[in-house]
Amino acid sequence: MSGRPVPRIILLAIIMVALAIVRLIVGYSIGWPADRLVLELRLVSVFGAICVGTCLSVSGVMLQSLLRNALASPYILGLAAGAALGVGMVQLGAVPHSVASWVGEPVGAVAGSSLALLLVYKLSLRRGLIDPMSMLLVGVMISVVASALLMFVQFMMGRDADQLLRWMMGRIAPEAAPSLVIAGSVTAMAGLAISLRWSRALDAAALSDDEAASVGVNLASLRIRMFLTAGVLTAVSVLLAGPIGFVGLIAPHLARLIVGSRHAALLVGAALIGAALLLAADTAVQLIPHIPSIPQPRGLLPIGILTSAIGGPVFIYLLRHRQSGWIE
Amino acid sequence: MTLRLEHISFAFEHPGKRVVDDVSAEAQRDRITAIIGPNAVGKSTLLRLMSGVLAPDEGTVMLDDSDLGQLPARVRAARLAYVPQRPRVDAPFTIREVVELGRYALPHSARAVDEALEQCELSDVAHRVFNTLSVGQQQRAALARALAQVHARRDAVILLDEPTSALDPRHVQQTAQVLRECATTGRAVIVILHDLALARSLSDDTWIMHKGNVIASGPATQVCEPAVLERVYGVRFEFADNVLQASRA
Repeated sequence: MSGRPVPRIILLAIIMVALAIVRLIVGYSIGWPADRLVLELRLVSVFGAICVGTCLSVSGVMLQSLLRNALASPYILGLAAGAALGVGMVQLGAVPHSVASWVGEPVGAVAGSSLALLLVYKLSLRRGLIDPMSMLLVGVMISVVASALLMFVQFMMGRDADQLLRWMMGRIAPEAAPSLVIAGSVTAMAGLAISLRWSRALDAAALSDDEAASVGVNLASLRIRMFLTAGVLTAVSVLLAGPIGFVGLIAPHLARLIVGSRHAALLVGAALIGAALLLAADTAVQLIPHIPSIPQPRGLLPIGILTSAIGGPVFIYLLRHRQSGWIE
Repeated sequence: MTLRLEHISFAFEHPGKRVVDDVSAEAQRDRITAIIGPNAVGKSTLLRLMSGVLAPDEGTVMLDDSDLGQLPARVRAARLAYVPQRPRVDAPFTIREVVELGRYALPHSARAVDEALEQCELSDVAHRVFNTLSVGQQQRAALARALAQVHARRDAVILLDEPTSALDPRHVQQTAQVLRECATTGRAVIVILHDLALARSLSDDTWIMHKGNVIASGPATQVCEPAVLERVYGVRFEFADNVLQASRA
């Protein structure tokens, strides 16, 4: 679909704002919070969800373009597995206690994902240019190796692995430091703004490498910029919420259906859809304890379980019912 | 305006066999230059070197007085358009959107896009998704993209790798006509062809490639001689009703 994406983008923005208001109303109790502290906690959740949703979907759009693969998602390059391994190492005590207590789990996540990013980049260069197929395969392999090491860490942790397991299921934490959420939100908006500046180049990069170079795209430079931006955005989302599956895969595809494939509209549409999905999922997680007829989990249901459980069937539906010329 | 190759060589592996080995040749404006030769003799690689998407290991590709390798990508895009044998678009773009990509490095021009679509008889399917069309239509869309790219540039060079390989006879004729119009309006057209009869009838100049070298070049009527072709292709050629074709003997 091409046509007129602006009205659809405005509609998506209205939906996202509406979901943000609903999330402010829904929490431990339902209703507009009278207590200022509760309002602040819910605001942190709202901005956290918008930030994580934006990061994952913008990163997903860029990686699907970079890797020329409709199945690419922010975690395909081993970033989530690397981050989880970093957190696991800190929790296991593999990092000296004095250092671990100083740097904490967030730095473990960033260090793990950065190392994965560096390895994937170095191993996927061919003649000075990122080779999409090599990057995809190396990313999958880095994920496999990091996941195996993580299982070893869990094995060594024994019963203490519960906290790590919960982190790996993803969670929008209302108790997150507001300064961290603000920094994440600024990074997300900067990532979106930067990728919008490259939107025409991203369109042209959909051509074969030779054709893209022929129409004037500097592919080597574009791919490095896309890769780094997608990596930073993914790392920010992991830092704020742990690994949350499927949003970075589904949001770009839904955005293509609604606003078309041109990257200027696609990036904005995907960011709004990603934010809306996270807000909806976080609200649903908050609503579950209010439904007396279903068995109540210990604590709030991790949001990653919900996004993966719903995202998988939605993707299969798209695959079977949509002939977009890419997912056929 | 000329596109001049000065002793260019290229290998994909180092050390490795040179796919293009010390080639020097010159393509002129106002003319169609056909590159012919058997499979795997370096024709497509030579075309990619001429388009600037590959850099030669040795030698220089000169566009007029400028070294092609030193030109910024956007400047090069305004002068040189390249059409591969198998165009590819990894996104569900429509034909019109694909043709518009030809203007990536240049000011947007709806007129350039409309004219290119019309020239390639694609106006009626411009709204359709590129990847849902036949290979022949995709080839014509890639040609339209190149035409939009060099629209109004009479000093441009258009390089095409077997642009008629998936076309029906009517569209082969129509494409040949488009290429002739490009040449008569001042551009240099360089095209790889396997159809020797078409190469002979369409081109002004012909380069014959064999084992990484241009072994003969000049006016098509002089170069496309049965004796030369027999040496290159390893089969006999003859004229039947003034049409060049491989013979069974």
